[in-house]
Amino acid sequence: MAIDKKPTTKTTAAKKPAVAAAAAPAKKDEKVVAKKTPVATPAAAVKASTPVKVAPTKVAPVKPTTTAVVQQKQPQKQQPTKSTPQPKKEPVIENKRKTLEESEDEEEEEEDELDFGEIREDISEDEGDDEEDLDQEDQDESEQESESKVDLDSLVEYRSDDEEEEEEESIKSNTTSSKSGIDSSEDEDTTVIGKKWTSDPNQFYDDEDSSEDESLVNRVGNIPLEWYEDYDHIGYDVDGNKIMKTESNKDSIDKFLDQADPNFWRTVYDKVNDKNVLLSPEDMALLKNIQNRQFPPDYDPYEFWYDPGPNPDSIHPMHNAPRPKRSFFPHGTDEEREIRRLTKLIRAGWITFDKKDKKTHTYDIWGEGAKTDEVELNQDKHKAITRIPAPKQRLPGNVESFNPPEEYLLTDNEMKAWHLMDPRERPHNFIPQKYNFLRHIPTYNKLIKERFERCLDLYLCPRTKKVKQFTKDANQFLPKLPKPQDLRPFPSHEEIQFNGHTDRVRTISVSPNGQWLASGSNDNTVRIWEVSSTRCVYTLQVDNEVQCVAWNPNPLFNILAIAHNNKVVIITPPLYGPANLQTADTERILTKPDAHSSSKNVDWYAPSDSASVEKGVRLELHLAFKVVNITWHFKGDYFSTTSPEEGSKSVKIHHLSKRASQSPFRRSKTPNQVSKFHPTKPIFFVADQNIIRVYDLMKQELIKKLITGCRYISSIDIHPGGDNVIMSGYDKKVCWFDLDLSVKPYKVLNYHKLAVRKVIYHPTLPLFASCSDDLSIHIFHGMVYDDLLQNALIVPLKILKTHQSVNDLGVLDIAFHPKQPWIFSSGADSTIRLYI
Amino acid sequence: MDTTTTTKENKKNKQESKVKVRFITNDPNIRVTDTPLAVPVNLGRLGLSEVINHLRNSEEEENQVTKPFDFLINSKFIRTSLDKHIKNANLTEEDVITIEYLEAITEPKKEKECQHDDWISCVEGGLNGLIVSGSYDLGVRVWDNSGNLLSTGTGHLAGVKSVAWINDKNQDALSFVSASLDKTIRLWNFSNTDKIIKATAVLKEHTGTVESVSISPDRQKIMSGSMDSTIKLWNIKDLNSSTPNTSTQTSKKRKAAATEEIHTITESLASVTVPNSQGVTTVSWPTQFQLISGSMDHSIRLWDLNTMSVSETIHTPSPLHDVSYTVESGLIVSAHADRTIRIWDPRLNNTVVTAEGGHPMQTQSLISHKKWVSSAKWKPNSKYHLCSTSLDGSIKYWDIRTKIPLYSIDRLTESNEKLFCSTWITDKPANIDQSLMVSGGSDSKLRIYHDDDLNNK
Repeated sequence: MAIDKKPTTKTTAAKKPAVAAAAAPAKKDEKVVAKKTPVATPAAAVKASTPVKVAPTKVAPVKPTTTAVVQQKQPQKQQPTKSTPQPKKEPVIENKRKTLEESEDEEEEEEDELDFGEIREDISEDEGDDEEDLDQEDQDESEQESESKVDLDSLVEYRSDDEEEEEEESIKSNTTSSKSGIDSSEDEDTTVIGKKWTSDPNQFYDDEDSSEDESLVNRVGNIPLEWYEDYDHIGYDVDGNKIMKTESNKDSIDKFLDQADPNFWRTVYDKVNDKNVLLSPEDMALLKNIQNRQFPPDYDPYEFWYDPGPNPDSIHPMHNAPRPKRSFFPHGTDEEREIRRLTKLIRAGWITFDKKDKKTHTYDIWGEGAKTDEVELNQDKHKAITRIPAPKQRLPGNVESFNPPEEYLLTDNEMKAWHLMDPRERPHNFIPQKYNFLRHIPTYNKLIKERFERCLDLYLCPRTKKVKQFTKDANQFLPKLPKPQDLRPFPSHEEIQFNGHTDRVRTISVSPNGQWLASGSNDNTVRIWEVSSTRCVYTLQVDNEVQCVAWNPNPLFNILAIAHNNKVVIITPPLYGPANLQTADTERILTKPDAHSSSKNVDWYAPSDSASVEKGVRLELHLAFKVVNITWHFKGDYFSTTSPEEGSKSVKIHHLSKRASQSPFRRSKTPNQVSKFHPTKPIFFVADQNIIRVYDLMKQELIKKLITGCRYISSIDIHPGGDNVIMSGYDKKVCWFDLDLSVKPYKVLNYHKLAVRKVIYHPTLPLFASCSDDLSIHIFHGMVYDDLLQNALIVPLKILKTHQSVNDLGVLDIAFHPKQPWIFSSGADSTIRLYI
Repeated sequence: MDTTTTTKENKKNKQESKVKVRFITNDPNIRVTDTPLAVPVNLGRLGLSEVINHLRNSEEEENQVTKPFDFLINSKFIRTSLDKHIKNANLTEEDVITIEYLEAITEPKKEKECQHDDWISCVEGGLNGLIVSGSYDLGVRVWDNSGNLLSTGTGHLAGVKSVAWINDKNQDALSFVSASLDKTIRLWNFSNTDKIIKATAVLKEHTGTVESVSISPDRQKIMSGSMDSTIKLWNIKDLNSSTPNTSTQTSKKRKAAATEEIHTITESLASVTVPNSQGVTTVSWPTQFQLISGSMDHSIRLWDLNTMSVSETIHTPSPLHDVSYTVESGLIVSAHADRTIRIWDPRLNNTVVTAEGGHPMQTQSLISHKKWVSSAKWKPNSKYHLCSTSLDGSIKYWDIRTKIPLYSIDRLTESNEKLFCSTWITDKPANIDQSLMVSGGSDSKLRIYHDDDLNNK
């Protein structure tokens, strides 16, 4: 800065002929180290400008280091003749500022001006000084360092010169370092011309402002400048006008010619504004300092510090002098050698410091995704062995006390028992005892042993940290089932109603070909409906509430069995004309010479009154007790009835063509509820209130007992394949048994809110359904696989809920259409509904 | 072409934008000028009807009765406003759009109720204006087109499920056939002069209820379908010709008189068991060599008469209740239990699967009924019109060019009655297009739907 400012005053300086004369000595050849010139010029100037006040402190720091170069030049200029080193130290700017600020002394100001003027003069006539300097330097070299500062200066000059050259190289990366030709005077000149200074005290501020503006001419912002490579302009100024390129448009010849500029070495290319900027000497000095890791030129690290005197309470050091450098020096030869070796290696480039061992993380974008990576990362994080805290020992209680409450102390009997007890069974391994004084307590002789065992425990027992299993998504607990939409067809909505009954419809049954639907109701009627038209084609009035209706499953027969009270009625409904026009098959099975027979408390009658004949009533069975359930064998010749009130002989099997009955099953603790024939084999299922028994009819033995866990079975059904059984209970349960798997339920379905009345399989499709008093019919997909390895698949499909509740009774019976995915239901609301 | 002006107007005001249309029609009575007109695009059916009426009045200088019209663009009915339709049909407003119009078919104003004794299960209209109906009271009845009961025939032992006219051209020797739940088919003669129904033959071979009968186009044979999964063909040529006219006694006494006179045929011409059919519910014999059957196993089968083998099987999604074939367009309409009426084109390639995943032969499905559809019948001599009945008690009149029925008569839906059958009658053989609809159902009333007083016609 100081140098910059001085030249600006060249106009004033020009007035001083003396100075000019001093500078006159002549122009030496320019190869002389250029930097000496400033040294010389001050020499002339300072003669007049001695009074400059300088802090006298800085004697010592004048070292041959490069940092001082610029600073030292100035003092030299000012006081070349003086032998005292002090003036060198004083930064010129400070001087000036002080002078300006004080402005007490006109003279001083004048001198300042003079000073500047001298420098201006240098422009033309430095060279002589240079020579002088050279000479001086030569002398200096021979002279002892301590003798004068001039020596130092010269030394400095030389070094600085070298360094400046380096600097130039580093900044400009210019190969042609023809610095020898650079004239310092010219150097100064350019700077002088660049900034016009007046004696105006405010000049500095103005100047600073303007320079600020200058640097900000290009307003394109912080963008890659390559974007403007292809344009003629480099950006826009504040007003949005283009700023044309100047420097970068130069061709190589121009650039080469620029190298002839003596200041080329300190010209820096400003990319943003596309200008060449000449570095001022201050800048150079600053750069040099930075390069050498030293303080900036105008900063005094060793400022005078006033010692306030000894303070006993002081915890701070008494001075702020830095640690001596020797304290950083290596001690001993070994260390030195090692350090030397290292520095050598570093210089040779064997050791580099900025080589960071960066692990580039690669992502497999096509793989399982970043998730796995995250997991890996997390694992990496937790690689360190986590310490697992030892399990806590039980804290001593009252028993362990040296003065336990009375009840803990053992009585004699207890003591005896204690001794008889196996040591492992004892509640604790000591006998509680009471001591009146703490000092009476003997040493615990098992201490070491217990400590040892505890250590063994901790050491040998594997411990794992309890990880709290936190599952975010409750859905993952749900089993994976196919979607109901994929399992069509299944009944999904109510289609039609069969209206006609006047009381709750207790039972329904579908004919084997699916054309007819029979229903029995509490209004003491049995009706048969044509499914396709909902037409009631047949009505039979009976004496009591109808308990059960069941079509003969053989399509050759047109036979319907009805149970009401203790009677079972076999009818051939006159659907196809008068009742006497039945198919030969039907007639054959129903015709037997003797009209009346009786066996096992069952009386078989063939009613002969005309009303019954017209209605198609062919046979009547009179049993001892109320019949609640009728089941046909698949061939249609046998059927079975259940009358729970009868006790041990409650299940009877009737042979239709022979008109014979038998009750082969005796064993049952609770009344039998329902019975079923196996769909293909001579196997018979009997359910009492909580157990389903499976009998082989050929061998006449019990095969299996299915333990249902249900308190009151309401119905059972056998899968058409024969290996699976479903059961429903009045205690809201539906159980699926796989006979090959276990005698316990394979699946228990607790979906219904009230008693489940009926559960049935679809004869052909993989469906099953349950109906309940909660008015709902649940439709399930129940797929049974042929291979024994795969368990049945049960998928809830649909809840049909259209019936109305009457007297807390809901859906009383359901029946599947034999071929279609249709389900019929009858309810307490005296309707029958068809869902398709 | 004023397309430029049209677009200009379009820019000016979207509301007032117009489109060039040309009205055409097949009906000479309502024809108007076919020069293109610019009409506002926001017009609907009503607006367009007004335009037509206005044109007619201005042309003929008469104060005619304003009629509602229906409008078609490329055989699609306009059911929304014109601009929406144009947008949906991917047409451009820049072109002249040809709009076909025809008199709108409106709901018949009146219906004639004819009391039956029991549920009507089937009804069949003849070209002469005669109606034959079958009922669950075991009787068959013949009505004239104004709803007067002409005669009742008895003899079936169970409800009648299907009836069909064999011959209704010859006024003197009309004959029809009925199928019943008692597994038999009966042939009847109806003498228009004496108003007497007389049984001529009983066909007994089915082992299940006979659900449907159909007459061959040459009126020599009948076809029957039964729940025993068989289709049988019967020859009735001899019966019709050799029917003795000697017995003039009325056969009111079912057992005594009738059995003596009538032939009993226990052997059919051909019998085919339809495998896995779960019962044949409907048969149809539209052309001489093609038979159609529909069954509970969700399939429509096309039969070749000569070999009596299945020539084509169309698998449908639901059990069938009725099929009907129209010779006009060669389409089959089927009534299904899943509330849907489906229209099939048997000429389409069966193997090509459509992009929608539907059946390749299915051209359309009409869904409007609330319960399963019990019958669907093409209007005679019509390519587009059909009527359907459903167990929800509604009868619907469809034009297959639109997915919405032209009208729906659902007065019975609230009373929870069911309709089982509907058919077309024409009062005069010459005037086939003026068909009336007749329906029957669980309300035990034969209903004839008409606009004007029947007796005046």
